[in-house]
Order: sequence, then C-alpha cells, then structure tokens
Amino acid sequence: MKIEAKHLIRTFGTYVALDNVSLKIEEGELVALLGPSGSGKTTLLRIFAGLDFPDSGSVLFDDQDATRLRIQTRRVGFVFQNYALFRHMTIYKNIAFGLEVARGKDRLKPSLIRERVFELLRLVQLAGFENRLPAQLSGGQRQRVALARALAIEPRVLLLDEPFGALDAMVRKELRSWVKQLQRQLKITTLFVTHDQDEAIEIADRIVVMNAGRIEQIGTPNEVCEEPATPFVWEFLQGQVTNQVFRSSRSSGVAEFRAG
Amino acid sequence: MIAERARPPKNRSAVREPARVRLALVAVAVLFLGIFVFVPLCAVFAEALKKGLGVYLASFNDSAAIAAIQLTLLVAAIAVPANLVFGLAAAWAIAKFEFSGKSLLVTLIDLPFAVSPVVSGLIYVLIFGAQGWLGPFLQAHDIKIIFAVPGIVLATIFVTFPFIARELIPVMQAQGSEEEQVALSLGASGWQTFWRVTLPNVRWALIYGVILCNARAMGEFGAVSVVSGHIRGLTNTIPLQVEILYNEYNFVAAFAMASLLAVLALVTLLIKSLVEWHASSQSAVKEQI
Amino acid sequence: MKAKQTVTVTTHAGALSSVQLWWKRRILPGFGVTLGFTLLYLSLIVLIPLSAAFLKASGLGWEAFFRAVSTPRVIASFEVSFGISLLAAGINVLFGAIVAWVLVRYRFPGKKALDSLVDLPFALPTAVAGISLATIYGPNGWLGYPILAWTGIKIAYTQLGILVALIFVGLPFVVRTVQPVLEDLDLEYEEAAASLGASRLQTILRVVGPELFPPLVTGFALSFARAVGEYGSVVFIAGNMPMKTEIVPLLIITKLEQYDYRGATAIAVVMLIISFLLLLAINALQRWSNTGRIR
Repeated sequence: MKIEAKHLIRTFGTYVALDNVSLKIEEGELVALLGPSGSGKTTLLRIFAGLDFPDSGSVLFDDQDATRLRIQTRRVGFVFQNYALFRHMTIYKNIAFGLEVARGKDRLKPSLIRERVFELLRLVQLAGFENRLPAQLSGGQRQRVALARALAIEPRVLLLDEPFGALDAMVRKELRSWVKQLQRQLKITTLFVTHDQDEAIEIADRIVVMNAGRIEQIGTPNEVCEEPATPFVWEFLQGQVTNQVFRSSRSSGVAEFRAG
Repeated sequence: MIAERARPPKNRSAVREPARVRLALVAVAVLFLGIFVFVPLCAVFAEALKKGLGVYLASFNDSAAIAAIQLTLLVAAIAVPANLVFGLAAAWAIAKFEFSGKSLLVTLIDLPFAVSPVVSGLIYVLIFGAQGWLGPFLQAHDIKIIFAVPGIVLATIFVTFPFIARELIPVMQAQGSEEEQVALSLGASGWQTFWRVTLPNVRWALIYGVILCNARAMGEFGAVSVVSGHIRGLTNTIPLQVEILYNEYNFVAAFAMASLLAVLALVTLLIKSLVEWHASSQSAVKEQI
Repeated sequence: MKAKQTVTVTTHAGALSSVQLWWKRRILPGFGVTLGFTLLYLSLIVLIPLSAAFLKASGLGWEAFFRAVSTPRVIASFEVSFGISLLAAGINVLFGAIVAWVLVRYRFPGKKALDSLVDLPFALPTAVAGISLATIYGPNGWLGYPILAWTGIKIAYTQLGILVALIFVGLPFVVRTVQPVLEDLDLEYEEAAASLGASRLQTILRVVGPELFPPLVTGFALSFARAVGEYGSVVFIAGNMPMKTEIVPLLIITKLEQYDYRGATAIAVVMLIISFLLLLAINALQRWSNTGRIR
C-alpha cells in the first residue's frame, strides 16, 4: 500500500510539532524518518497510525482519505519503542491478540489462528518460545515478538517507532539488518523513526530528514549524504560514510552490494 | 529552563472512551461521592446551625462540653507526641536498615487498622479492668485506669500509633541512606545526622502524619467508648459527648460538638493537599537541577 | 562510637550466616536504640494486651468458648456484620474503580475537590459520621424522607442503613489502592491493543483489567476489614435490634455492660483471629500487587 501525507499541521498549544509536512511513500518501500529530538518524526508516525490527528491536512492510504479513520480500523502494524508487550500474556497470546479480538468476517477459526501464530514465530525465529512471558525474554527477543504481533493482523503498512532504541549496540546492528531482510521478503511498506544516522543510511531505501517540524530533505541515503539540500542536512549527516558508490547489507554471513 | 523536549505532549485520543461514556462515568462518580460523602458532611453543619448561630455557640458554654473538649485535647496532647516518638524510631529502624523479621514488624504496626476499635478497647479492660489481670493490683493501690483518663489515653494510643510510622516509612525508604552516610563521613554524630539531615527531608510527611494522628486521636470513638465508662464531665471526650447528646435528642448540641471534629477533618484534608502539592513541586524542582 | 564503627559492605550479606547478618555492624547508628524502643512500645501497647485477651479466653476452656460464640444471637450478629460488610466492600469495589478511573484518566472542573472528598471517610471521626448518616437517612432526613415517600423503603434502623454506613467507611480504600496502579499504567499498552484492532471495551477487559485485579482485590480486603469492625458510624443508624440489625462490636459492648466478660472476650477473640488472617491476606495481596511494577 502506498501512503501519503498532505500538508499536515499539528500543534500542541504554542508548540508546532508538524509544520506543513507533505510526503509520499511508495508501495514496498522502507523509509526512515530521521531527525533529532523534537523534529516531529514521532508525531508524523503516530498520525499515520491513527494515534494522533492533525489540525489540518490529510493522510491518504492508496489514494483514499484516511485522516479521520480510527486506529482500530486502519490495519497498521505499529511497533512501540518499548514494545508494549502485554505482560500478563504468553508470547503466543501476545501474537494472537490481534487475531483473537477480530470480529465479524475478519475473525479466523481457532485452528487457523494457531497456524498463523506458529508461522510468525518461525518467521521471527522464536519457535519454541510461545509459552514464555515477556519478562523472560531478552530485549532483542521482545522486539521480534512485537514485530510478529504487529504482522499477525496482516497490516497494510508497518510503522516502527525507534525500534532499535532500547537495545545495545551489537543487538541493534544484528536486528536492523534482519528487519531489512524481512521487509524485503514480505514486501510490506515500512516507515520507521530513528535519530540514528547509521541506522537510516544502512537499511532505508529513502530517508526523510526532519527538523523542527519540517522536512529538510527526502532522498536515498546516497543523495542526502552526498547532496545535502540544506545546511541542517549536511551538518546532521556530517561524516557519514555511505560506502560511496555501494550500499551494502549483511545477513547470515553473506554480504550484498548494490551499486548506486 | 526546559530544554527541547524529546516528545511533545501527547494527545492520546486512541485510548479514550467515547464522550458519552466519559460523561456517564463522571456523573456516576460524582453522584456516588456526592451521596455518600458530600451530603453527610454538609448535614453536620446544617444540623448544627439549624437553630441559628446563637444556639450553636451556646452549646460550647456548657460545662460538660468544655470538660469534653479539655479531655480530648489532653488525650491528644499525650497520645500524639508518644506516637510521634514511636513513629520516628520505627521508621528509622525499618527504613534505613535491613534485618530479618522486618515484614513481621511492619505487619504488627499495621495491626490496629484491622482490629475493631471496640476490641481494642476491650483488651485494655481485660488487663486493667476490675476483673482483669492487673485488676486486683490496681485496686489495692487505688490506681484507676479503666473508667479514667489513663485508660482513655492508652486506648487512643493503640488505635492511632500506626499513622505517623506509616507516613514516614515509605518516604524514608524512598530517600535511601546516602545523605546520612555523607553526613557521617563529614563527622556528624548520629543525633546530628538525624536532626539536620533526616528530619528536614521528611518534614512534610511528618507534618501530615502528625495532623492525621491528631485528627484520629481526637475523633476516636469505639475504643474510648469501651474504656471510659461514659462518666459525664469526667471521662467524656468530644465523640462520647456527641453520642450522649444525640441519645438525649439534643440534636443541635450534638451536631455542634460534631462540627468541631468535622472542621478538624477538613483542616486535615487541606493540609494533606498542601503537602502533596508541595511534594510534587519539590520533585519537579529536583528534575530541573 | 564513630571510631569503632567499621564500614561493612551490605552487598556481601549473602555470604554471612543469618545470625551474623543480624549482629553485624551497621553503617548508620541508632539501630539498636530505635529497634529496641519500637519493640518495647509494641509489646506494651499491642502484644501484651492482646495476649491478655487470648489468655482470658483460653481460661474459658474450649467448650465454654464455643458455647459463648454460638448462641443464636451471636451468630446472627456475625451474619449481619460479615454479610453486610461483604456487600458494602463489593459495592465499593465497583464504584471505587469508577471513581479511580475518572480521577486518573479524565479532566474536568472540580476534580481536585472530588479527589479530596474521597479521603473524608478516612479523616472524619466515626461518631460524627454516625449521627450524620442517621439523621440524613432517618424518616425525616434529607434523603430518608424522599426515599420513603417515593419507594416506601426505610433506610435508617434497617440493614440498609448499616449498608450505607459501611459503604461510607470503606470507600477510600478501593480508590486509593487502584489509583497508583492506574497512574503507573503506560498508555502504550492500550494503544498497542487498539492498533491490533481491539475495541475500547476489549482493551479495557483484556489489557487493563488484569493489571487492576490485584489492587481491586486488595482494596476489597481492606474495605471489608474496616467494615467488619466498624462501630461508631454504624451504631446510630443501625437500630441495633438483636438478631436483625445488631452488629458484632455492639454485641461486645452490650455484653460488657452486662458484665458478661467471658462472652465479650470470646467474641472478641474470634474477631481478633479474623483480623489477623485478614491482615496477613492484605499484606500478601499488597506484595502481589507490587510485583512486576517498576517503582
């Protein structure tokens, strides 16, 4: 699904979180919203999710106006920074949650729900963990459960809020290339918020650089590093190495290079 | 100065109930508290002033009323300081040290909350009463405890001793013992540390604890009822006097005395709000440092 | 004293036996004094008087004890006290939860005042509450009269009156145990549930509910414990008819006034045992409530 924001304005009192923001994201893209604290990137993500509503402007899902749509009906997969796993439920129940609360024609038979949950557990490489509780898992494992839970409802778009922020450096690196690989495999439109330039450059197809509620530049990692459009972009991405010509990703011991 | 905020204040509309539901719930809450709390509170003052301000004030001129007020003040003047010392000692031992049996101790301190006030009074009668353990001994020495002021003081102490301790313990626990250790390292003695470092840190919890203990001490009814013998002019506290007047159908006088305690309760609540407001503004200041 | 103190590192406590743990030198002074005083005070005020009660009761012998507590009148008073206390605690759980929710989640004018009102039953002396409730719900009272006129239901001097009084005294307990838990609850969990398609009701039942269950049970137990032993608030509005509206504390006093010390003590011992059990249960519940919460 492609998503679009048109002229979004969002203020909290006198504080302007989003100042006339417009953005188009194509089907299957992995886009990073990059910027410092207070740049408005999380507000933008939450407006896409339906956890917040703009003062003016519109949000379009596949060219249809979704601005006022309630989050329950948007079918977006949202992963919170701290995962927000349901503490009292097993991993199985967490992942199955979205399937179990579905009503009407969306409701699956219990056997199909089971199938789906185990499929997802395998997908995120947590098969065998279904009866554990979130407290028994490591940070990286919880993150993968949060992802599986969001994917269970077959969302049209994945929205990740600083997904790797709470993890330590090594786990972070592993997880982000894994997410990249997953996204390629599922071909699901994905938008993620980060303040980490490395992260954005390494895995995003395109980067949206934001500052103080405005978009400074949208472009491929190469473009924003090599051809910064504003002084802010230059300074924010200063010294970022983009492997010049090549962009690479690593997974399972194999390195892939793509030109350009 | 607050630096740029990481997250703007959230308007979490996805997790709100529809407006009708919210309105209904607020209405239910207001009605519930209104009927069960607000109306009784107003009734005290309404009934007291039913026959006008003159009659209201005249109720306090009665010698029995004055005696009751004096006794209540006396009991509080003994019980509250005693419980204050206890509260400080217990809080210090519990909050700053680790020892086995601590949770049992805390449970014991909570005991008066679970025991009926009538039972609390009864157990003192069982010891000091004419047929009690020490009964013969006391009679031989002509010491009166039950049906006299000392009994009332004891029963009041029993019922109210947890209050100060319970206010202090969580606050002292939350503060840890770092500051005290620093004071010691700088050469302060134990007492100096306690006076200059610990007490000032807990002064608001202490003040509220004392006020609450005082309100409960002055208002205690059940335990004192058992222990006092209801001897008018001698062993009646304000609550007991209220009961006597009410049972004699002297409603205005009864409510007049009751209104004194009601005002005390309101002052207690007011101080509680002040303490909480102060505590929250203090922690806000600390965050900015 | 300062010179003799050694700085012991408490983190190595695990290596010490429990006896050593008790006696090892502590960094801060005053442990012995304060603990000693605390225990002394407790013994004098609480432990010795309580043992007196139990000893006196045991002087009765089992048979006499059981006879004293199983007369129809005594049993009826237990039924009245416990039955109505259970009901009052249940009502407080329902409405207390609503009040706590409203106070934590919503904003409206007068919220601070409402919050303070919740504490009033805690601060107001029981006798004051007692005469006030009796007057209001009496046949000529502000609420008693209209209710009697419209529905023919009498409140004062009936078990309904007792119920009203017990709701009053137990009210703050549920609200004040639920409020902190609700305040600590991160909204993200509910947002996550909403993003997965759950309706508001489903979210509250499946996600918020389990979090609130421990404090609700704790509040119920506290409210119940308070109600069972309550005297001052109830005795004016109850009517105090034996077998019908006589509560246990009043029965104890009645027996005392009749110099039936044995009977009074026997009943008191039963109440004490129940108080102990309730207290242990409440402490366990509070610990259950606090596990998993980051404070």
